[in-house]
Amino acid sequence: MSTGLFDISGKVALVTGGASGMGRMIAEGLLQAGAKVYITSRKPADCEAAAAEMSRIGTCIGIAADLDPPEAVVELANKIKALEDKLDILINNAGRTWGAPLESFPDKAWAPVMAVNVQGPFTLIRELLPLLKNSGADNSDNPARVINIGSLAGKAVEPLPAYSYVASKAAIHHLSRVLAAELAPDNITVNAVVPGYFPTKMTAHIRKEEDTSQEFLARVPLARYGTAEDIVGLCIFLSSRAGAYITGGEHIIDGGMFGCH
Amino acid sequence: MVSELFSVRGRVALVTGGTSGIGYMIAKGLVEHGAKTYIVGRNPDTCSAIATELSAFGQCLPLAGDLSSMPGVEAVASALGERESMLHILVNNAGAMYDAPLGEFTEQGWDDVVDLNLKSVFFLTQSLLPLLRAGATADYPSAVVNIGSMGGTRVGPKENYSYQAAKAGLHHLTGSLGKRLGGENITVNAIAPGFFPSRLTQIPDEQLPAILQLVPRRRLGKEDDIVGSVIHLASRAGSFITGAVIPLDGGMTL
Repeated sequence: MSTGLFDISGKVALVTGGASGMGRMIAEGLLQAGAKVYITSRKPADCEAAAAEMSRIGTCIGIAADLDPPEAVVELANKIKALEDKLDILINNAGRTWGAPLESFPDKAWAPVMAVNVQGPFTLIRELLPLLKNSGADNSDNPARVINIGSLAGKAVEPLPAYSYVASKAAIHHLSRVLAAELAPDNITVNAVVPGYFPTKMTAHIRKEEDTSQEFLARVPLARYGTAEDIVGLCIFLSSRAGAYITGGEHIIDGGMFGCH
Repeated sequence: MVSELFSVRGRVALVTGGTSGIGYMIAKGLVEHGAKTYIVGRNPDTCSAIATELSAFGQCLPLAGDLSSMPGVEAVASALGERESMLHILVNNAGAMYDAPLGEFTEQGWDDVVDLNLKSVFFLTQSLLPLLRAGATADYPSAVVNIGSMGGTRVGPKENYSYQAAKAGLHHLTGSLGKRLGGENITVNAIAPGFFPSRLTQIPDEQLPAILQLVPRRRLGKEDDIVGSVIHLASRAGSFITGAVIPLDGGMTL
């Protein structure tokens, strides 16, 4: 019998970049499902405000953190360690992008994007391993979960002049698989979630004008943008007992753009 | 909110090969979660017995039929059409396995497997399109879930040539159908299971420890795993996912 197959209530989660955009959708969804959720944001005021707003749904704690310098990532992990003995769900969502034409794409557009999108998640996983292992230790059927938010642009060739971003997302997909194989015996699953186009700041330029939007949606078999429910559904699935046997997956959620191409 | 997002209550489902193995697990899970579930099996007595057994948990109905031939496929589709005006969840699970050394591999061993694992999926889905369309909305699509295999994504140890080719074909067909049916609010996805206890993958007890060494998660798949994946795809939670092949193998294909 599978009562509560999708239940995640009482789990402790950390969502980086959880104050806005997709991270905010995920954080709110986890809260509604009864998890205790830590969020991070680069901007202390935004972080505090978002955590306060989301506290109406459930227990939400904001920790301001810039995930670019590795020392700051270690500091974030130390703060979590001071507050919790175990971490059940780690969602590496915080991301940076940089757009510029190929000819003028600057060297300085690489380091910060790779730092936040690849090195940051790696360092955070490394530093939080003891807490993740504690979560997985009590039950092999309810492992700790790491979910790395990748991107369709790191999987398919999309018309985006965001060279360091697309490379960083391909990197985090592969890193997820490598860590999945290594951490499975510790009862930690690692999956990449690969979103297509969702209504966030990153896609505002497409959605802004009716014509561009229609032209874009013609490329999506399901002919729509993703919603909060879509991304929340996938993250809860992967965080619950229902997703306990899945590790090293690249979970594409894009209305069919990749799989039907 | 969560229970609603993952609800399949009141949905009409059809599970082929629903009388044993993974298909039985899926059927049981859908019934327990409130879907009105038809199971297709070749043997009418077995099919009825299993449907009666699963009716203890909810609504389960037998639909005996042989999907290995075109008349059989058409008979199953029309039998469902006589009872239901819409179908929300189609789980194409029925499958056969054959393995033999390359030099001795028979035509029968090719045709039986490809006919059931690939051809029948295409034509059953085609035959059921009117029912799938009838139940589909943009808000809540109808879902076709094809049970593929890690044998279709990786080359395993067995000489089961037709099985691996058919499963790889099924994964690709999933994208083709997903593309065509997206505009009609029908999602089409595949699940690629690893080792689950079933008739196709019988594992002798003494071999189990060695097999488990190949699985990073160190256990076989079980009912919760396959039911969880199917319900995720069949519920509103999975409605933006189509054309995907989802690994369910404890990390075995890494």
